[in-house]
Amino acid sequence: MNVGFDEWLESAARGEPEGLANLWRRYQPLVLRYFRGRLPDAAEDLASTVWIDVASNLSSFRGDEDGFRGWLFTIAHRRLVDEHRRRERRPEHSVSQPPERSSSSDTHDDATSLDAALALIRRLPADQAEAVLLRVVADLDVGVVAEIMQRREGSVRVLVHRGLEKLSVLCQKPVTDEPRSTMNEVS
Amino acid sequence: MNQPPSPGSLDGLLNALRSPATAEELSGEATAISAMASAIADSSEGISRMSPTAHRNPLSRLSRRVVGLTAVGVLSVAGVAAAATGVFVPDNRPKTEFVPGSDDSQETSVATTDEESTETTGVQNTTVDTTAAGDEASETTLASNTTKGSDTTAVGDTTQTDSTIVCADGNHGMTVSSVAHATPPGPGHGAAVSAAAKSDCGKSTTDSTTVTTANTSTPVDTTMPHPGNKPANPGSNGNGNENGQGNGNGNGNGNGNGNGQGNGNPAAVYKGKGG
Repeated sequence: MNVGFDEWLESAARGEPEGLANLWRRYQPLVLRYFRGRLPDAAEDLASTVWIDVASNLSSFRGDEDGFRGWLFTIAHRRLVDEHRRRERRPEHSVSQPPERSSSSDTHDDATSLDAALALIRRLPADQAEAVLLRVVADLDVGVVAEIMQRREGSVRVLVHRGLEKLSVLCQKPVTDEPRSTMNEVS
Repeated sequence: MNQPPSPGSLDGLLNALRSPATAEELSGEATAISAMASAIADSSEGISRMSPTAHRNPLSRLSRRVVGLTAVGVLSVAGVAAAATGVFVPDNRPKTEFVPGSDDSQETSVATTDEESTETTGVQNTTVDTTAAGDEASETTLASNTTKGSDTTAVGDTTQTDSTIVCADGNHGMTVSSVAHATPPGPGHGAAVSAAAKSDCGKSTTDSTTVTTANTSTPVDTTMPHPGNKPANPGSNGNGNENGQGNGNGNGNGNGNGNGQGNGNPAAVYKGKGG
């Protein structure tokens, strides 16, 4: 699998569409979920920006698949922080938009469950939501998450633990209000 | 109300977050790929347009700065140190160091020179021959005789050993004094005074031989005036000292004792008024 990924990476670095498509297909859903768990109204735009940045700097990347995932979500985290700062400078954008796709169905298919899960994550404090998303969605190690969030590993573990604990409580309740962590700044 | 249903449990929530990609999430692939390809093309074109130094490591630039500053600092300190220790000799003249000998009348001159072909490693004996004496104007010829242990090669004026000193009226001290006054300050002043002091002008004995050990290959370094450099006064114990290299002791009583290190320019002819 890593061999295939390395080939994808080299092909993508050369600008070949096949390699780029393989990378995009594998990580676009994760990047999109990461942004939807924080800023659902800007998730698509932020994801596109991240991929442009990845493509522009792909020739300088050296590492394996885990390293690429960490690099990818480091870029995503920075774009998210930039978006938060931009919205702080422009208060007219501070009102969070509703989720891009609100479910009107009671069926528990994957999409609905995913939307519900992301809606619950948005109710977490910003740092807890960030830690949970990076640990669960991006599947990053605690050390990598700590580097991205510029925190100690112990702090990240605490954030994830508290976030999951709160999610466990929230899972027992229906989602009734808008997320509270949408505009919270992530350090 | 339009509310997303609860995942039910934490495991269900985590499974939902890790679920495979949906079709909606993968929509817009073609647009994204084309945008990425164009971004890669732009970045590669940008790299090719950039100068080769544009992608150098910032650390290497820092290293170059450090090396440059270090070099400047070292050169500055070295220059100051060299100037303080006198490594830089004006006029590229060799640095001469005098070592006092066992005898008062002999001084060994150790020369260090990098100039032309002058290489002195031995000791040179200089014999002072007085050809005329008395009241008449006499000429004293200083003949440098490179006798033994010398592989000196004469170069220019610095090795010329013949000079004529015209004795002045009066005793030996007056001769030395007249020479000291007649010779303008500068290179050769001390040597002239020394030569006059070594001469037998005004002495009772006209045939004297003074043996000195001198280094004829090195010129007299008189670029730096010595504070205590004064010519001998007539009628007193004259002491002509030029930079410590020329030492002439004139006794006003007519008994002159010439003691010179022989670093002067003996080729100069000093004429005085005969008595």
